[in-house]
Amino acid sequence: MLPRTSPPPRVPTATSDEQRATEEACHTAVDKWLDEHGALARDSLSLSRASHVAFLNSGLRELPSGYCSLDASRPWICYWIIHSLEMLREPRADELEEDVVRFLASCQDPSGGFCGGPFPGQSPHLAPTYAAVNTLVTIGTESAYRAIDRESLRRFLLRMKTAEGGFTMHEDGEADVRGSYTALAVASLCNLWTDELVEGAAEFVASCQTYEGGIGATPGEEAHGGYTFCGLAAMVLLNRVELLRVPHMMDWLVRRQMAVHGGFQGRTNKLVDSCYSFWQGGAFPLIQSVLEARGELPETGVRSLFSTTGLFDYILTCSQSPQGGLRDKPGRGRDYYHTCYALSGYAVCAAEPPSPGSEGVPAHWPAAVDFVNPVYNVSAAKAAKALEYFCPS
Amino acid sequence: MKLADVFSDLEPLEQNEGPQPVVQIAATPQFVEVMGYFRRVLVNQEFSQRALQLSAQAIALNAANYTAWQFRRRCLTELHAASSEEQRLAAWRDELEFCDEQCRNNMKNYQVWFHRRACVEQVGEPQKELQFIEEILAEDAKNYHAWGHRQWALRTYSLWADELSFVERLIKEDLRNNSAWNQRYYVLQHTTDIKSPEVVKAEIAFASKWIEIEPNNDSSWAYLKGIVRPVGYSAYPEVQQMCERLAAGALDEAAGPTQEGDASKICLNALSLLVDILQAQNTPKGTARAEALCKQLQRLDPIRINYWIWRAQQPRAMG
Repeated sequence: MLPRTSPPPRVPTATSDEQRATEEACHTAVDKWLDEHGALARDSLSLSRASHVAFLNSGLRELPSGYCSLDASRPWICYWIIHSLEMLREPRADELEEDVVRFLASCQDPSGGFCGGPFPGQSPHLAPTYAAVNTLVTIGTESAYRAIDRESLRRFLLRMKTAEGGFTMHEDGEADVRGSYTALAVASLCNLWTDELVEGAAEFVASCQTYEGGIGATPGEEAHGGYTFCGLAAMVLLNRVELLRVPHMMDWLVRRQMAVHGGFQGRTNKLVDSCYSFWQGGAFPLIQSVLEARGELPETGVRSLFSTTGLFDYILTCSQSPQGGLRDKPGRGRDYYHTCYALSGYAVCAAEPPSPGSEGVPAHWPAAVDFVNPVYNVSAAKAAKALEYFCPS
Repeated sequence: MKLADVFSDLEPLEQNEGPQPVVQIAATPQFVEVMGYFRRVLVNQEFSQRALQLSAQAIALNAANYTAWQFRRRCLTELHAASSEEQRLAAWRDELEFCDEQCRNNMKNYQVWFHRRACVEQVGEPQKELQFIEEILAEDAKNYHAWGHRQWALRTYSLWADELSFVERLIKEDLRNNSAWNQRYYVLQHTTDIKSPEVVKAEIAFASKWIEIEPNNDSSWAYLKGIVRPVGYSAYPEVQQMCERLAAGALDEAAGPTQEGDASKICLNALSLLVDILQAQNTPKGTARAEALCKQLQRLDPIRINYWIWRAQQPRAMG
């Protein structure tokens, strides 16, 4: 078991106070579980699959008015739900999937790219474009693939390219490492990769790696889990990881796993949040494959560099909402974003090779989900199928 | 005045959800009405005062409506294409005020901060930005967007003069504020030669001061490493000396097993930086000692057990 609390601070500050309160909330969640089950026998702990599926299914058709802040992110909602169901191996009715395909097609702008909702009314944007393409790839039917207008998408991606090698999220919008990742992931999956598109892209991402080792949104901004994943995955797609200080990034990544409850924080001295189970956790298989290719992760040694036991424990004891769905941390409400990214982190853990840091993981934990392709964060099988479709050899 | 009266000449454009909607958000009648007219003026490319006001209503209902923000920029540009400089400036000043309120209400929103940048570029009074951001940071000291905006203002308008003292004040308020530490690095990167011996020495002294005050702080250690790693630890023996001293608790017990209760008193950051320093020396003695420290860290820092095994196995990995 991990220590119950961090060592007491010599100089308490707002940060250490918040950390202490979060550790207590996490322990209350673990204690509650102990009360119900008698002991922390990992074997009797599992994903509450049925209640998560019920929560996911309940959002596919209609959402309460409180979701209006996501009115410009509706393809994201499709992705969070469909990808989560896919990881949990929950089948969807054909009719429902066809409705999702029709909806996403209706979000496509005639000039290329997907908008946050049906056209007209919103501009095409890289984030919903990434979400829409990932959703369609996850559905993986002929009609889903055909819904993507590749020719106009290609022009849209090129229009988002900046002189610095970055990508703006939309016309007259911000450019950051998210733009690089979402544009390149979509271009790679849909076979829209060109020299023109990628010129200068690797140099831009590399310039965002900070003195800490992680990556920030733009050059100079603080190292952050979301941008670090986006930057690293973009570099993997570009096959230019050598431009990053890889061991330095690894050193930053491992330190984001919390000693007390096993989850990941997004930045140094910030609080744990289950979404970083994927943003930080998902960087490990990418960086480990780079180290392996360099001969720095030999077959005979340790093969996985974080604690999957710790991350599984956090997701299962602290981030599962009793009502179904997953949450940031104890005391917060469930939502589709955290459900998707906590489960994605769980799926990453499930695919890690055994190591001293996976001690005590019962066989049924990793067996509960399908593997994901960590570069795109879609089902590994569905990513392979889409690549086969769009890039026939 | 009712929207229907303001736009009596227009037909609202309903959202086409198709026969079998998915992820449909139950919208209030007000949401439906505002968005119906907004879609219409967008499609018509109507850049007017009433359209500008309408986009504010759309933003009030959903501040993440990036299209509405983008529309406002276009609308203001078109409306004042033929205006006097004075009128144009006045309009963008109003817009900046609108932004103030929106930034305060939606601190974690990409659109509002990007829009603010456009306003400042038009109005051209960047000094006020630093004051405004300071107010935001007083509410949320690690707000990522506010720090990004601050960096933009500093570099675009060369406002570096007081930034180091501002950052030091924030570090004094909370020495774990990693955004402030990152900002210190950013300022030095832009105003000094950050690899020069003078800067490195001064920054080692700065980080060390804060490490002595609170040895258990990842931010000050990350900063120290970030400053010294690129120039090499060998030229700055004071770093190793400090690590040896702060790790002494653990080093004393190298002979025997640590009691569980003592583990919390050990400075893991000092131990782990010693591993970096010793491995970088690339000597049999240094490597052997680093390996022993990695073994200790496997026990003292169990969440990173795999990493410490790997570091012992790959003594050259950190370069």
